[in-house]
Amino acid sequence: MHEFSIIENILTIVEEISEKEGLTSVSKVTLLIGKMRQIVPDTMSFAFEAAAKGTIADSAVLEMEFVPIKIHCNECGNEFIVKNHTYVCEQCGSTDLSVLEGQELIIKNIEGER
Amino acid sequence: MEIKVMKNILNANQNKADEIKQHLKEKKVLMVNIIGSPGAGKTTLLEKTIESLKETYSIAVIEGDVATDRDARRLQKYDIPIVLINTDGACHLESISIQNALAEFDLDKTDIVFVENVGNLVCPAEFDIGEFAKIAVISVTEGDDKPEKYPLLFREAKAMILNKVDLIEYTDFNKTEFDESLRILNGGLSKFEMSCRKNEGLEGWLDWLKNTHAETAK
Repeated sequence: MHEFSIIENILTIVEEISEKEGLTSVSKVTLLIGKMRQIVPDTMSFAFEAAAKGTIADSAVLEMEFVPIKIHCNECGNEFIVKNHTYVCEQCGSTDLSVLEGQELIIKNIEGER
Repeated sequence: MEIKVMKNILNANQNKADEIKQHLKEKKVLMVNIIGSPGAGKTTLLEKTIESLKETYSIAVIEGDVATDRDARRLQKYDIPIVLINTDGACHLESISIQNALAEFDLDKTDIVFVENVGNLVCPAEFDIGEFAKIAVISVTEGDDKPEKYPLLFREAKAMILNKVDLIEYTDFNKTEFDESLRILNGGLSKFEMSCRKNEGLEGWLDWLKNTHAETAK
């Protein structure tokens, strides 16, 4: 459900940037989505299609690139990628960890015509 | 042509949340964001918590509800400031409505603000509302698989309340598996087991709130 609210934010940013860059149409929007985010790609695409109607991104394609969850262990300094939501250091077993990557929700780039 | 953007999509919400966090810190107010499924016992938890703390602390409540004022009405008996946010169908609260709600309180005379988010384990976990801590509330009747199914909330929460433990013998809830799934998701999580309806086992949670408030007020 929150995908709709995220899409609204995306369209606002896309419109701001299109205006600034003088775009007349947008053909593609690429997102970076961290794997910690509970984003359902199909729901995102559906929400984008519905909400983009009548906007500058009317016929744009939404592309999603997923970013793995990268962790730094505060105990032993090990860095690793989280699998199966297991936030335990593979090297020393500590759960005192910092998340380095995997929380992203970013517009990476926009493609369009001037 | 391709334009490189690299802009955070939820920037607008995050900026407001950061403003709220700063403002609450200056006012020495502790705000906690209570998140759980419909029926987990969020409002009952608030009732029992307010009953225990209202003599010592000035408490205010922000009630997030999709359409009704039923939860807010349940808390009116305590004669504390309550702001109701009806989200009109939206599945979570965002920081802009929290900022407007906080403006209704006299924060100089407030110690703790409880935000009861919309009943949902997914969406509220995605949106920072400027709280100091997210509190995950789950009841044994929902099953022990919830942390695994909704990892973001249990990863982001600072404390977790397992409610309705008096009913555990009537369910298939596996406490060992539940604890293990929480350990691998969030080793630093504070965990409390209770029955809010019977008003049993709340001591640890109340102590956590008192200590956390003392930290905030420093």
